[in-house]
Amino acid sequence: MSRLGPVAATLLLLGAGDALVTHRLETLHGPRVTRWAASQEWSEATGDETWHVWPAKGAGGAARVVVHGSKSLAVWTLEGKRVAHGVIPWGTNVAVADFTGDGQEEIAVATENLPPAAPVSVQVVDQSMNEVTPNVGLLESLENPASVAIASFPGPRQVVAADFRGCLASLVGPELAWEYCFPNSKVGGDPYAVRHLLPVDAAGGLLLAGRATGEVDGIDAAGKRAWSFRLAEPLQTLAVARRDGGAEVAFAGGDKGRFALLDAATGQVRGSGTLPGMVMVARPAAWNGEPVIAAAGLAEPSIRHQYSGYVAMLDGRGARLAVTPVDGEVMDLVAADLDGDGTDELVAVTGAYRLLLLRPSGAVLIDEHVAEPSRTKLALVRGSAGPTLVVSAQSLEAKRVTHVDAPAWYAARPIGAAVGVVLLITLALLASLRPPPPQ
Amino acid sequence: MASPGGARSSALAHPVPDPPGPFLHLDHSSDQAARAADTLAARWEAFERGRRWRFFVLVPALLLAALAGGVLDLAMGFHVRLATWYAPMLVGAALLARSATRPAGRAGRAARLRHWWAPPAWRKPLASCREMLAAWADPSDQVRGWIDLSGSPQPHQRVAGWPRHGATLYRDVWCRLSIETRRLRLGLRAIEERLVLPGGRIRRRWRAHVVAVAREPYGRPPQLRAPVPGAAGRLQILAARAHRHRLSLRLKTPRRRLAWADLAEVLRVAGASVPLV
Repeated sequence: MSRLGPVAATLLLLGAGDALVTHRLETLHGPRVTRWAASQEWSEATGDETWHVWPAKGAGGAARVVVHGSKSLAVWTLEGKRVAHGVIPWGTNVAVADFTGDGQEEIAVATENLPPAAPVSVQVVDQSMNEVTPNVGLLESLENPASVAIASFPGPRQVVAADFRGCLASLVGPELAWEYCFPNSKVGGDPYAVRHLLPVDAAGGLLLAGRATGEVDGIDAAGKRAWSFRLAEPLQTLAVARRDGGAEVAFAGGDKGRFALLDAATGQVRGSGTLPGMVMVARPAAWNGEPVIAAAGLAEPSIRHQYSGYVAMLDGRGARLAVTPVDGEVMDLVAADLDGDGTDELVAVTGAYRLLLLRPSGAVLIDEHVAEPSRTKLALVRGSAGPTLVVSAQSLEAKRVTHVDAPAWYAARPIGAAVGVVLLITLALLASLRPPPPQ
Repeated sequence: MASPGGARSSALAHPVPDPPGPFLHLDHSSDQAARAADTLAARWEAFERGRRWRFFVLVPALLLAALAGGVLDLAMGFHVRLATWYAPMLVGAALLARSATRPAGRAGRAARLRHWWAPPAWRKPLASCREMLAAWADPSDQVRGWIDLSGSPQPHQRVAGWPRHGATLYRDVWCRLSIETRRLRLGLRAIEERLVLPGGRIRRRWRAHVVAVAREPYGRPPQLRAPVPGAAGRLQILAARAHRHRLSLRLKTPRRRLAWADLAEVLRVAGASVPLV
């Protein structure tokens, strides 16, 4: 009987299948299988629609949540108490960063004063809404403000605001430090707006300014252009990831799915590619301890079973580590390591009215309903009791994300090893079944 | 291992058999032939035991493990499919184990599940041959030929001119022996004819051809008498022809057996000298 050869070959193939499945399952579920749950700790009405939510450090390192709405600015504690509230005009831009260097974060506000064409006022306030810098009106430097940032350049901190034409103005205290305009920044409007201002430490401190036209410029403390890059399509999102050794990489994503990874110090392209569709949001994240970029958005056309959204993980060279189709375009995304395994979990709000907690590899850990995805903003705030997910729409909700680890044996690798042993035993038993030879 | 086609008593060319059934080539004195047949039977019985327990342990264990994988995922309550993903591999291994523990002497694709625990197809004919060889105990007697229980159908067993009208006829000569003693030369050929009809139905018949030639080393050999066709114990004599000291019998044998005791009695009545069973 010459059955041993095919039997051994088939069992080896099954063993290879076992190894592949184990690898895939471990990528998907991680080294430990975990059951996740989100419990609501508190929920408070904000009385305003939310535009942005930021985690912030308050006095004594206490965790705070800064909520920027269409007509209000509020600071909340992680226990659900509103500690400050201010009324702001519609169209105000806000940034949160440590301006004074005391460990507490301040709030920079850029407002278009009424009536139209009146000066843009820029001011920094603390978390109690007390004035840190005087309210400065910029008449000619800026039109409508499109974004604002607190830049941590060497020397005194600067507050930089940008407008819908493509011009930037920087203030040191009440003084105008510099002005900067992108080429052809004559006409104002959404297609020309500088919506992204990101300070980086690279090259002694730069401010990355991203314009809707696809231009990304690195600007130094004196307002000089250090480098310039142009994405071949309108810019939709800009994010910065810090790599090992302190090098920073800027991710620029376009509205047709193109992206580029730039060295934040030189503007040199480290990698580029195309994602399934418009990159609506990007965040720096970590995967197995390595810095990566989580980019998400709208898949056009739909991918895999008519999913119209995606979450992609890219390494520092732009290589796709994973692309997960999701139901509905991704409108907001945050990343944080919730279980301490060295890999960030992702929380995404999708256009299919879902709030998803995902592993970067694509495993859905929590799937909840949200009422207004387009108005839902997310923040992961690290408090003394661990990370809290803050979800803000018409109300501000704090959710505690908890997880229960499965026993160590209930994971892909031990089960795969057990199946491998079973296959080996099967092979050994079948191989030892040899019919007597003819005699 | 000599080809059975080389055996002196065989007029038919017979290719080297395709295992997995028992095959015994004989060119021995009678006592050694009986011992060889016993050894072969013991080896195949050991193989059969190993085959059976492997089938009855491995296949259910692998299928249960596959089922347990799905149940484990449900029972753990982590809402992930983890062990379930390995179930197809375990089911595949179970199917492989089922195929690899296929009973010897049966065609793999035609075997039904009940064949796995049915008595092996080679057991009765091999026992029947051992019974006959055991009867010839004199070391001066010579046995030549082969016992081929490697199973059917095999390509070389297909009868020329078939298939016809969708049916195929296989002729499996599973025993061809020539026994030579001082007083008798016995040639024996046992055949299974297997007609595979369209739709997989099978008709079988078992036949044996026996030629006995009486000898007498010290004088004239005795004349042999042809028995009357009809039932003779478990045998059915279909045709008998005697010419002086030569007797030719066409027999219908019971299911894959030689029924040596009945055949010996038929030969004894015909006047041949055969050992007592």
